[in-house]
Amino acid sequence: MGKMIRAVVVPRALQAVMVAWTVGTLTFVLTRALPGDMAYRIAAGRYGYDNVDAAAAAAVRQELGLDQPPLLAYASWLWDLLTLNLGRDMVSNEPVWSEVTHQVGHSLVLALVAIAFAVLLGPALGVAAGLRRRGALDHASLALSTALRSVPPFILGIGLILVVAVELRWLPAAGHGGFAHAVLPGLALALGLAAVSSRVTRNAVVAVARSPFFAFARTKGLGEALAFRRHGVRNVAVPVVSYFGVQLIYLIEGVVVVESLFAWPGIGHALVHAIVARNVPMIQGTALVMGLMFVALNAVVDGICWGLDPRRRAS
Amino acid sequence: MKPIGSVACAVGLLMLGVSSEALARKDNIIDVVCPWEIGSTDSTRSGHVFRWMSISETLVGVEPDGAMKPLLATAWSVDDSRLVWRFKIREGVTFHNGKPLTADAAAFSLNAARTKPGVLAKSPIAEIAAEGSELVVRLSEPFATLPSLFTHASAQILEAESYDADGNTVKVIGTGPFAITVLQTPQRLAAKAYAGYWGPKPAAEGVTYLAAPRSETRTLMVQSGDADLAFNMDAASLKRLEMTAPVKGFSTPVARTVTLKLNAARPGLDTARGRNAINAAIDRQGIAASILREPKSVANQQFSPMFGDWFLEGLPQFRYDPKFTRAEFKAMGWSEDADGYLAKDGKRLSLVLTTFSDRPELPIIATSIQESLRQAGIEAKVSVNNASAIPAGHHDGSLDMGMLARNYGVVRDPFVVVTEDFRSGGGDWGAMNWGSAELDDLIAKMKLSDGGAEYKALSQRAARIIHDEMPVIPVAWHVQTVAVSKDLANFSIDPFQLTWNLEKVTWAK
Repeated sequence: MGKMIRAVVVPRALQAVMVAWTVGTLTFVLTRALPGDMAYRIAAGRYGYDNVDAAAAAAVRQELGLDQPPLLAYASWLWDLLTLNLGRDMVSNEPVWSEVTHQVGHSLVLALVAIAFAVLLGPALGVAAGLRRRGALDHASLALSTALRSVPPFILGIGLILVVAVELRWLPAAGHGGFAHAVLPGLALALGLAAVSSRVTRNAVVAVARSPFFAFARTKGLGEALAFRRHGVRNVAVPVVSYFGVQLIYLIEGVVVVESLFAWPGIGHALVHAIVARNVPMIQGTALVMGLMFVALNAVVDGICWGLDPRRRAS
Repeated sequence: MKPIGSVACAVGLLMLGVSSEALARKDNIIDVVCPWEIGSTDSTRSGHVFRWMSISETLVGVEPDGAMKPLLATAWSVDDSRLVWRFKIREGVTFHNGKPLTADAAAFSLNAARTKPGVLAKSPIAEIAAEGSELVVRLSEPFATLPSLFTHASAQILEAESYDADGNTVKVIGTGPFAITVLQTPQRLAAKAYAGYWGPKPAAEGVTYLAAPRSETRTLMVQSGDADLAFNMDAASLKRLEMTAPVKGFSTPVARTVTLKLNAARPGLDTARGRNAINAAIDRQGIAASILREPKSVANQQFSPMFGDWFLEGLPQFRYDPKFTRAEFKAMGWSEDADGYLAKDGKRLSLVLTTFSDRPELPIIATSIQESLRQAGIEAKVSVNNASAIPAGHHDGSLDMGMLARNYGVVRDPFVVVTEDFRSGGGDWGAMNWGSAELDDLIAKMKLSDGGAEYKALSQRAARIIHDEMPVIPVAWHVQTVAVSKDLANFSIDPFQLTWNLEKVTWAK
């Protein structure tokens, strides 16, 4: 356990600190570099475009101290971050922390549903294709996964709504409030994930099936299913799990678009709105949480690989 | 081993399990989807959503023809000094938490709203207090349109428990026919019929509200039957939906005017003649036919017919004649440069047209005007920006032209908005570097007017000045579009968009 903490947890924790600082600094510099007067933008976000006027902008400027020099603002932001204070949302005046935790909960539900679907669909299809290399299923799954991965999640989402919600009327088209609402956005994300992981699984299965140890297992008299369970699954799992880690970036970028399409109140949706309204604390808060989520998910992947692969523990 | 089959089975079972819930949702609930988020619980920021959804109510309501009607106040009057108004509070009304509506409760709520930016804060209200069953409003100067301020969503009456110790709204406890059960800002709200409502009982057991910013989402939700009412559909989607889904499209002129704000300090825009010449280059019929797809949207003046006091009867349609525009400018001393654009003293007549995309039709109309102006010899460059670029450009003087949709019915009568937009010097969303001493004088007189024929004469004259001087060009009267499920009956659009009257909606069979 101590070894795992040294090998997995400590490097990832250091990485998390670096990510927090880099993401925060970049969002700070980028939002300041955007054109337009921040006070007017924030006032438009707060009071709606009908009610934004010079008086509202002036009030916002004074209340939020937007006049202070950028370096001073940066220093005070850095201090707040060190004291784990993310500040207040400039539009709604709620603490950023409470808003982000509400939204991140919804995004995590969506991410978990997507991963669950992807794990159900991708590897299973990959194993079937790999065990019958160059069979009809192998060819079909190659074509399908190429097609699915090349379509952006937004288009996949519209397609799913059209078929499942509009034509079949099985599931609600958009919104949130029940598990049924999470299925289509989850699936829109999962199909892209499953497309690649099925191919990775298929290649890993082909490699295992051709390996001397698998041939030996068959020679000593194990049936195909038993040989695969005992000597195949774990060997196939390591590259598949690692690849899921790499794919998480797809999940996180997909969340932004899919949430907006499905009217899902997650962190990606919040980020888009925060950028439009120049809501700097919210941009920093959401970007920070997304960065940290990425590190945390990678740490989980590392942990699983550590558990799966005895060679890592030995090195 | 047949992983495919088992996966398909699992997914199929999962879908069956969840779909039974989805199928069973055809209920007595009105599901609304629209693009506007619920930014906050605060009435000065998001009060309109709670008014739309019939959760909260105001002292005064508005009939579709613009007449004021009693709502939580049954009658009102002003004394001879015109500084003290008395509103009689309706009896037998209870809030959603069971507490009775009293003059004290109404005063508490209005005083809380008055401390925040909004129409109440800008008004000359000096004090709001309760005296017995009456709400007494004392003014610092006469203000004839005071009751119309109390139609505004920021003046909705909430129970004291809605506020925290600092006066911030933390809950929405209103008096409306529906009471909130779920409120998840910024996107979702659910409410159920309130058994103790003072008025006629609604047919629906409840209502839900979902903010879906993408029009694709709203269209698909109507098509799949997940939404009964979808607001702000573009005209093309609405026509298609009517053909493919059990949906009826509604489009009604509302109190907004799509306008072109002009900087009257720019050469060419600095005379009424120049501004009227530019007005003649706008193809309103074309915009109405191919962008808004609504012939009723062709504007022939600033204020639409719903504003009876301000609407000028008998005006013809504006002429569309880019050749006339060019000829007028030539008559004013402009000549054509090598590219055929109008120029004076070696400088081309080139203007930036700033607009924003919160209302999807604005950038399209702006582009069409850019082309019309080109034909007239005026170079316009469309810049699609954030809405706040228009007031910001107004103040730093950088704005040439701005395209926007102005709500003149914010408080029933356009007076408050006219004062803001057309007084000397102009306003953030109105005239720019323009002023009329006569209009300033009319505004001062209207403040003191009791209404009636005198008020009408003053407002007609004010509208005439705005029409002749053209500091802001009216392009189209805005049309609200809604896709309505055929399951619903008795739906109507309030032209002032104060409420959606969901309590009056019934089920078709």
